[in-house]
Amino acid sequence: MEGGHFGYSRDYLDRFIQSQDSSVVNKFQQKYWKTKQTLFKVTGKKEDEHVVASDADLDAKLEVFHSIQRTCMELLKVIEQYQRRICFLSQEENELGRFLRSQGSQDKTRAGKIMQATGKALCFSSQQRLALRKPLCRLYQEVETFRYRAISDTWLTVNRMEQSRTEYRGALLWMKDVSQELDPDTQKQMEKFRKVQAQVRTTKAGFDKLKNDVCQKVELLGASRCNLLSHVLTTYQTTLLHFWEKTSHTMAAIHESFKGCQHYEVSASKTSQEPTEKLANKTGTKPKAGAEEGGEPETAADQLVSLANENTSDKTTASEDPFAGVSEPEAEEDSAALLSEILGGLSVDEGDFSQQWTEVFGDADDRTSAAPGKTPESSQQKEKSFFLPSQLLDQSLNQLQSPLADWTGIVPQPDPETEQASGANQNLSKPAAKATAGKPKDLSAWFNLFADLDPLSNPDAIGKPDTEHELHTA
Amino acid sequence: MTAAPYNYSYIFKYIIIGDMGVGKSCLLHQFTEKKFMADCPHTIGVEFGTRIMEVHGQKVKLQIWDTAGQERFRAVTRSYYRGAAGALMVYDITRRSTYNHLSSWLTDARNLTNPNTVIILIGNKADLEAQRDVTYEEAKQFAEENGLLFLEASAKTGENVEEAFLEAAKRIYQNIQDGSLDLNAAESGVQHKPSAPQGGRLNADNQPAKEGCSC
Repeated sequence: MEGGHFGYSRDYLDRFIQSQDSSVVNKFQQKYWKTKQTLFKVTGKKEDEHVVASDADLDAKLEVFHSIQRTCMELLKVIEQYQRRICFLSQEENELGRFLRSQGSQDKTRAGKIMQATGKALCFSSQQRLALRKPLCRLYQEVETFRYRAISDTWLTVNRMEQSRTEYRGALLWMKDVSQELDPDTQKQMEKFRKVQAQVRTTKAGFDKLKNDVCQKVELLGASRCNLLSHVLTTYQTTLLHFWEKTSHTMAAIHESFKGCQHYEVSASKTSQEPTEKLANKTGTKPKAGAEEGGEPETAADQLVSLANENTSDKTTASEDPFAGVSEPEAEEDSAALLSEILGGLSVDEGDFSQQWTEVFGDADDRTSAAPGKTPESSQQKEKSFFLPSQLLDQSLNQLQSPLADWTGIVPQPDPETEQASGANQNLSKPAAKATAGKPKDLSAWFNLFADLDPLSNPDAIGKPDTEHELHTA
Repeated sequence: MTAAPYNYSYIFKYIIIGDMGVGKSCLLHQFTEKKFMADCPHTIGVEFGTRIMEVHGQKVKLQIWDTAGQERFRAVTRSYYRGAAGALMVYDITRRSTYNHLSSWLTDARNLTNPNTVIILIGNKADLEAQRDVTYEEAKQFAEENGLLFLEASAKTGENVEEAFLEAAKRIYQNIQDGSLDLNAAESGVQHKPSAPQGGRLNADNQPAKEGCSC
């Protein structure tokens, strides 16, 4: 220091004092700019496009997050409704069955036997239907837990990130303000600038870290929800298939045993009468004109059924359309077959799939959640070393493109086509893939997480209770 | 900074602009410190550097503003263009995208500086010949079409770094000489210091003019 010069030491003293105060002033200024930014946000003022653009990927992730939130809520509501309706349906079915049985026992003709048998089958079906409630209940519980734990945890992180983002943007506003009249040769201005610069630097670091946290969390959230759904839905699917199998077998059996029966001509009845009266009217009439051999006894049973439905539900047009009734064994059988078909087709070669996974994510490493700060050499490296789980799926999806075929090409055929529905199901169950080509690396940790991500696509396991239970009780 | 010769006649304000990661800060550092900074953190807002060069026998102080390339700083850095005598527009020869963004940088530069501002295009990382993504010819053509000086340089080896700053300075000086750059105009980017008693000025000041950070 230039010794003893009056002007100098006074000046330095001033500056020293100033720097002591500056922390209070500093804080005040920081608060001011942060508040200003908050105000902008709240009043919806259009923000600087570049600042917004630089957060584009973050905003996309936030979109995904909100959609996950919303859809979970909706799923819960839907499940509840569905459960309720299954209950009602089962009740009605049961009553119908009992009714048929009681009426059938009073009728001494073959028709009576048919009615009884059908009634029994309906009662049985209604009981079986209730079995569906258990997996649905489970699904409901799981989704709810997911909401309360995973989603709210991510929500907390999102909030913290938003706060940090406001601070950071506030600091940027401040910097913009200071930059208006900046002259590096002016000491005071430079000091001011340095202060702001430091503020921007710290808030930026905080924001960047939280931004990465949010991105990773949202991705994990999506993937784990898929996982959850895959598991629980498999149980549901199996139960549903069994239900259909059993009831369709039962109905088919009835159909078989009553082949060659005479059938009734049914005319539209506009009034609701006692079913016995109606049946008495119809007894012994000639076969329906133009009807084929095979389908008719079934049609009669259906028509009887829909007739009964008319009475119980006060519908008058059901007989015109015998298949409008609630329980249609034949239709069920068809749809069961169709479904097994469709579901049986859900596969990519399981072996292939896991092989491809391991190919891609061969060796383990620990850079999975590398924060960007670890690789400061170049920004390019920074971008790529930040790993997102969706990149995993991208790679695997890209590699699986060939087996994925047209969803619309499904035709009911005896032999399940192996690859038809795999695409749709995979797309349904996997989160939306980003188009980044990540380098395959260091991902056995992630791989283990996702190892059983999609049990639905295992063709051998569908409909086979033992295998399923083994898989899921493991 | 004791022996710094305050006997320059002019101060030229330079700005360095370009995409994030092309090497702006490294170029500045190489120019002022003659060293290559391998671990360069992202520039926040702007950083400063100065150096005194001799141009046609005149000592000129270059006041260099190294701006942040990250997009979010765009609004902030736009304030820095004002009053620049020279602009170094930098791209990375190994990354095509940085070359493609040049038109937007050029637009900004033309809009925010005065028409006489000398803009020089720099293709940095010339030492990474193996990963070259932009040819010399096409960049040269782009520069010619837009009336820019052009040089390929390497902040790492120091190749063409001095030349880049010097070329721009020469051109600016030429503009001053032939009158196309009006020294009295505000925001010309050039300050003319009378070359006489700089020392006296120093003592009289309560606030000694600081040179900025990286000297």
